[in-house]
Amino acid sequence: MPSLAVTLGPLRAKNPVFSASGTFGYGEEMEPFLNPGVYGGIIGKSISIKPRGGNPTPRVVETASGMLNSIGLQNPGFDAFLRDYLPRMRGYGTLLVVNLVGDTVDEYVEMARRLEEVEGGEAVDALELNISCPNCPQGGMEFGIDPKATRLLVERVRAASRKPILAKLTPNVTDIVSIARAAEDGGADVLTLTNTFVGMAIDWRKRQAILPARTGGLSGPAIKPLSLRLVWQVARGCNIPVMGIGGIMNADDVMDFLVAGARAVQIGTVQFVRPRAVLEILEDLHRFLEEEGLDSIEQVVGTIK
Amino acid sequence: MTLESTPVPCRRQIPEAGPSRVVFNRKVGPGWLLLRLEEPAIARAAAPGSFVEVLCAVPGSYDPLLRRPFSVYDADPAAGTYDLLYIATGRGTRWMAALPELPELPEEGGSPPAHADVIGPFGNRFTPPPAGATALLVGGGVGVAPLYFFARELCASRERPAQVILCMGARAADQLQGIEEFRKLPIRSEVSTDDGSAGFHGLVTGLLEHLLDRDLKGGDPRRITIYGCGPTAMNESLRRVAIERKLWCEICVEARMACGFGICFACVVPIQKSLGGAYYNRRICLEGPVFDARLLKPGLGEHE
Ligand SMILES: Cc1cc2nc3c(=O)[nH]c(=O)nc-3n(C[C@H](O)[C@H](O)[C@H](O)COP(=O)(O)OP(=O)(O)OC[C@H]3O[C@@H](n4cnc5c(N)ncnc54)[C@H](O)[C@@H]3O)c2cc1C
Ligand SMILES: Cc1cc2nc3c(=O)[nH]c(=O)nc-3n(C[C@H](O)[C@H](O)[C@H](O)COP(=O)(O)O)c2cc1C
Ligand code: FES
Repeated sequence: MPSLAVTLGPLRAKNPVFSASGTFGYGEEMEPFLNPGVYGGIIGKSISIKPRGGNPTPRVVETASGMLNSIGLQNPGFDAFLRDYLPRMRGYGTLLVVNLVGDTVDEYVEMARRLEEVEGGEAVDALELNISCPNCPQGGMEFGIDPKATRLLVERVRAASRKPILAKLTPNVTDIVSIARAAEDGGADVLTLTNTFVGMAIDWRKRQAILPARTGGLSGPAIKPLSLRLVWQVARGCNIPVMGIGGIMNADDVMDFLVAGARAVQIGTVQFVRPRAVLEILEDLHRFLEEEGLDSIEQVVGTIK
Repeated sequence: MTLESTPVPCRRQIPEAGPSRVVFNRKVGPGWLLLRLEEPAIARAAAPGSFVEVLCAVPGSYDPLLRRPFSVYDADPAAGTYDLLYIATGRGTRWMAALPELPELPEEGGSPPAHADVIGPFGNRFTPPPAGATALLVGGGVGVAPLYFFARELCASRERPAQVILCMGARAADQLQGIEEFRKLPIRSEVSTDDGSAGFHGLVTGLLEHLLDRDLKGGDPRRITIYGCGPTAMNESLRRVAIERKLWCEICVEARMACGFGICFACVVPIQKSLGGAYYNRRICLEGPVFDARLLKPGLGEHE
C-alpha cells in the first residue's frame, strides 16, 4: 500500500490533506459526517485573545465558481477556546494546529506563550499565524503585506513558543516571495498559502455592494489557478516547506499543488458543498499512487518540469 | 455585540444520504414548483422546521458552487419520500425546475431516473403545542413550506391542539400558492393580501392581530401558541406582535448560508442565550432555524 504520509519540517502528517481554518468550525460540527481524525491535520477557525462578534450579515455571496465571505473572524476568544473547544479537538488523534489572529504583535505572542503553559506545551502540535485575513481592519493582514512586519511578528512568536510555526500568507500583495522569505527569516517552519483574495460583488440595481463590509475574501475553485501560481513561486523561492491552499475540490487539484511544490494542502470551501470531501480525496490519492507505481506521495512533490 | 462561548449543543446524527430520486417535479403556480424526492434516510429524519441542502449543478461542475437550502415541505417516512416547495427565481432554483420527472423503471437502454444530490436534514424543529392549545401558523411566501409540514403533523398527532389556524399572507390573490393544500386539512385557513385582492386587506401580522382581538379574545393567552416563517420583515413584525402581547411564539429565521451545518459562520442572528442576557451571534443552521421569539434581537440583526 503506497504511503500518503508527509513531513513538513518538524511535523509528520499521516496524509497531506489538512482542513483549512474557518471552513471546519472547531471539528465537532464535522462529527456528523466523519471522524475529524482522518485529516492529516486539523485547523480550527482563527482565535483572537478576546471574543469577536464578527461582521453584519449577509456575510457570504456566491460568485462564478466561488464565493466571497466577510465573516469577520467571529470566534469565542482564547480563554473559551482553551476551556470549551481544545480538549475535544485533542481527542481526534491527528495533528492539531491552532490558528491565531491578533490586532498587535503582543496579542499573538501572548496566545503563543499561554499555549506553552497548557499541558506542558503538549496541547497543540503547531501554530498557524493568520497574517492574512482581508475581512477586518485588524485581521492580521497589515502584518502580512509588509516584509518587515511579517518578520518581526514571526520572530517574536518564535521566541515565545517551541511549537512549529506555520505562517499563513495573503495573496493580496505584489511580491509574495519577499513576504514568504521574511517569514522564513523570522523563523517560520512552514508557509501556508493562500488565504482568500480580496474581491467585491455589487447589486447594480440597488447601486450597492452586496456585502455590508463592501469587500470580502474570494475562495473556491475560482481562485485555484491564482493560488497555484503563488505556491509554485514560493516553493521555488524559499527553503522551508509550503502548504498549498486555494480552491481544491478533488484529488486532481491536490496533485497539482504537490507537483507545483507544496508538501501538503488544506481544503476549505469544498467542505461547504461536500462535507465528506476529504474521504473521497484520500481514496483517490491512494489510487493515483498505485496507478503511477509510486510508494510515497512525497515522490510527487515539486516534480513539475 | 458580545459573544459568549457557545460549545456546539449535542446534536442528532445527520443521515448519510444517498442520491435522492426525483419522483415528480411539477408546477403548482406561477413560478412555484413542488419537488418530490425519494431517499428514505432523509424522509425518516425530516421534521417540521428542518431543511435540506440541494446541489444545483451536475456532478463535477463547480458552478453554481454552493448548495441551496430548502425547508422540508412534507415527508412520508413509509414511502421514503420528502417534498420541497420552491419558487424558481435564480440560477439554482431554475436548475431544479428543469429536473425531469422520469418513469419508475426506465426501459432497457432508456435514460436512467433523475437524481438530485441532497444532504440533510439540518436544523431543529417547531415545538409541538400543549394539548388543548390554539396553534396559530403565520406564514408568508415560501415560508409556508415548513408550516404545511407542521400543520399535517398536528392534524395527524394523537394529542391534537384544540384548534389550528393558518394565517397566510401574500402580495396579491394569485400569489397565495399552496393555500389549496392547507384547505384540504381539517384546520381553519385565513389569508391576507397587501392589495386586498383576497381575504384580509393588509399584512399577515395585521390579520393575526385581527384574529387575536376578535375570535380569540377573552381566551387564556397561555393557551395560544404562534409559529411563524416568512421573509425577515414579516418575522420581525411577528416578533413584535408576540412580544407586545406576551404570547408564546417560535419563528423560523432565514439567512444567507454557505454550508448549512455550522462550519462557516455565515448564517448568524443576534440571540440571547437566556431571557435578559446579552445578544450574541448564533448560527441559524446549527442552533435554529427555529427560535423562541423572545430571545431574538429586535430587528433580527438586519443590516440597514
Ligand atoms: C433555512 C431556509 C429554508 C428555505 N426554504 C425555502 C423553501 O422551502 N422554498 C423556497 O423556495 N426557498 C426556500 N429558501 C430560500 C432558498 O434557499 C432560495 O430561494 C434559494 O437559495 C435561491 O437560489 P437561486 O440559485 O435560485 O437564487 P440566486 O439568487 O441565484 O442565489 C444566489 C445565492 O444566494 C442565496 N440565496 C438567494 N436567495 C436566498 C434566500 N431567500 N434565502 C437564502 N439564501 C438565498 C443562494 O442560496 C445562493 O447562494 C430557504 C432558505 C433558507 C435559509
Ligand atoms: C467562510 C470562510 C471563513 C474563513 N475563515 C478563516 C479564518 O478564520 N482564518 C483563516 O486563516 N482563514 C480563513 N479562511 C480562509 C481559508 O482558510 C482558505 O485559506 C481559503 O478559503 C482558500 O481556500 P479554499 O478555496 O479551499 O476555500 C476562511 C475562508 C472562508 C471561505
Ligand atoms: S451556513 Fe455555515 S454556519 Fe450556518
